[in-house]
Amino acid sequence: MNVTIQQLSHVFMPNTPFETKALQEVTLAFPEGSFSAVIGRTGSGKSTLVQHMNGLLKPSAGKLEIGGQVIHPKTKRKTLNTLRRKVGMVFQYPEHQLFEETVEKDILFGPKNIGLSMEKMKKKLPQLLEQVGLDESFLPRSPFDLSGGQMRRTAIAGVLAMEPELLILDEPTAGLDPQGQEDMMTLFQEWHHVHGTTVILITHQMEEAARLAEHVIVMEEGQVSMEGRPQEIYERESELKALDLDIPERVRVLKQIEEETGCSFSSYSLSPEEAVKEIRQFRTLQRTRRKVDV
Amino acid sequence: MFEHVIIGQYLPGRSFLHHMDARAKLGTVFVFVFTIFMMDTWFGYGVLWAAALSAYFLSGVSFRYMRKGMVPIFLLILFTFFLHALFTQEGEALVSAGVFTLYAGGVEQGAFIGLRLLLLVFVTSLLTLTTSPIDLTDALEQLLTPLKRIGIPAHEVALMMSIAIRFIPTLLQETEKIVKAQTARGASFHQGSFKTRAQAFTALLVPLFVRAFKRAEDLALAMEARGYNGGEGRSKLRQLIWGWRDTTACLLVVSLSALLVFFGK
Amino acid sequence: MEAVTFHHVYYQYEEKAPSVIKGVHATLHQGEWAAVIGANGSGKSTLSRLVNGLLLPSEGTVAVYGQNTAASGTLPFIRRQVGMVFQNPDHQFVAPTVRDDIAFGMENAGIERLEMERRIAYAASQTGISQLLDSEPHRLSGGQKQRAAMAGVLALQPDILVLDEATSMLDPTGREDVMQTIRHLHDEKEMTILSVTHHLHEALQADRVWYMEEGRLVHDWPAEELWKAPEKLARLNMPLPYSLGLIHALKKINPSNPGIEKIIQKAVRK
Repeated sequence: MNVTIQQLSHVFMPNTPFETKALQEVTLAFPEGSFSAVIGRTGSGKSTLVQHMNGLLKPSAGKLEIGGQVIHPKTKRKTLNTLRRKVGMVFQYPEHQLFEETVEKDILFGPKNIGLSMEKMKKKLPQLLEQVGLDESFLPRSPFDLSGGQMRRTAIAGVLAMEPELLILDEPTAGLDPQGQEDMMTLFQEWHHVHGTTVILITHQMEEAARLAEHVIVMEEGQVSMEGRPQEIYERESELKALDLDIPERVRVLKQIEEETGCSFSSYSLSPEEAVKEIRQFRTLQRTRRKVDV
Repeated sequence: MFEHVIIGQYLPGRSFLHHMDARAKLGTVFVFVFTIFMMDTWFGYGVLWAAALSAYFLSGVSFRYMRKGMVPIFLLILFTFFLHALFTQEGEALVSAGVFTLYAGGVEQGAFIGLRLLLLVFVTSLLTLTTSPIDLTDALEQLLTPLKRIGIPAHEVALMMSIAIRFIPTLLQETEKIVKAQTARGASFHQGSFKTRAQAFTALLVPLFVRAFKRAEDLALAMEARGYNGGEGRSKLRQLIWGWRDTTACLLVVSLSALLVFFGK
Repeated sequence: MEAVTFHHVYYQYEEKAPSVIKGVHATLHQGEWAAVIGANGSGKSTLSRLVNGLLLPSEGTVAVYGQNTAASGTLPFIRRQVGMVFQNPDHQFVAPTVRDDIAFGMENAGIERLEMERRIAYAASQTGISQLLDSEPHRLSGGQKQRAAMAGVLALQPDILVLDEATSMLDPTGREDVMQTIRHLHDEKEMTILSVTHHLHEALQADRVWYMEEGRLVHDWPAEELWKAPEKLARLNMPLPYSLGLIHALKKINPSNPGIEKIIQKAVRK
């Protein structure tokens, strides 16, 4: 699903002492089938931005076009409802939204609300559960008896079950252990791959953004401050630092090696094995040079 | 949606009322509210309103802020007014439309009750606007302490209130978050049949309760880890200091109230 | 001196329930910082709660400076010695302002008012939140709330600080601020620290790394050793931080690269 955003502004509590400009004339495009990441520190406006995309917020000025549907400041609330059928949103700590007696009922809550056929849905459930790393035996269980990680998977299944064309993920790995984070990232990568869903990931972690997304948007004080391929963003180290964003450990380590040894890497997204290969090549090169010098 | 409600909010400042001891404020407001309920004459209300307005001038709260805060309450008051005006059948009939007839007595009664409600909200708002929640609960604890003998757990009540106040913003944030999450899953809080709405509210309330219990559990653990062991042997960081303002205010309010109750009828 | 000793400790939440801590036997020395790692459900948090007597062992003993946490009458001493910071920054903030929250523990201990004010100023300066003393909790970031919680603990002047996943709900900035505070308390104030975390790179900043698996304390490594032998962690099927992964990959080809390993460590500690 194509998403284009034009001159979007959002003001919270206008005309009060608490007035805050959360977004200021943001213009962006997310092409159909793309995987993008929005990063920025807390309060940079990234959550406000994506909440416009499924009609939870309405623009104060400017407009959005989501899969052909235009949202502007005067759009009626009813029209926003139809948007939610196409846009799925996984909130931070989604396990906090579970409420039903069984995992099955909870997963079906969203699909039922938007009028999907329950019979078809029930047939699809086993496959869906498998995709999120659970299995059929969970269906009759109470979501509140599950472990934290399983609860989160259930909640995510509840959003995926709505078969969104656009999937928005708000820090889906927050608070998980490294293995859990790893599993979660693989899950979304595969979902994107198999279903071709357009995905927008909000994250604090550059590393995560770089691994999953082909396009990175950096937000600061309600504006887009950087945009480009992850590699390009990495390079702008001093700007990232100024925004209080962490530079991925990968980049820091490789840069330090470059600085101190004179070796230069072909990119900063090398896996450890690839980096070792380049370091070896560099060393062999150095050795042969030394021999020539002598 | 909650930003316009000023009841329970605190506006830091340096006015006469801000400098008063919370115990004095709590005490005088209590006496004042008692007096409001005892009054049933226009004269009495006039005097009480004059007193309340003078207190307002000592509060340093801007008129605009006060007015904005009163607007949501005003709707409630308007509703009460019409309820009384339409259903009290006393005095002269003024206007009549269909089944409804407006009587003079009804209008008077409505205006009376409306003014009473407004006055109640006005003085209690003044109290919370000029008193920090922690001073208020400390004052409550001290005022309740003599009642410990008859089994009222003063410290626990005050601590409970203070924790409740502290968690209101957290609860509001959480409510907003869950409303959004369930809305994104197609739940409908504002439209649709009674059944769909009822279901939407279940989807909101269950997670809120689950979170609240979890929070209570965590908080209890954190309090225990920090050596909380009931009210015995605790010291206090904050001190309430009684000054000339407080004695004066108490004397004024108590004598005004006594005069009104005995002679204002 | 031995600050905390676990002596063959078992713990089960209910009778007949399976043990979540199984035979933990370890010592934390005065001034040492141990980081506990392990998957969710490995017993890390439970272990941390045994230190200050929030939980008492079902079998075996936990002692703080030689005092058994289960012995009668030792709890006040132990609670004074051991400060705790928990995971959720929002669920441990009791009072309506930072100042009052820092005071909460001291009020419980019946500390005199002027002394409280002195200690609040000190604790706030140690945690870098002096300018936030009059703020309300909902106006603070997660990292600020956690530092306020640490200040509240410091004000009680404990010798031991236990942090139960204190950084796991924070953004990178907040996490770094908290880590910096921990390093300061460890390096400058020589506090004994037990921190539970699932961020390996945080754990590697400690003196020792305790690895837990299914309730057992399986490994007790000096952190320095892990930099030299990352295969020990790789064997546990844990995703390694990039730096360690790189050292690990280097070692597979050439077991000794002291120069480049130093550079990698330097990059991480910068």
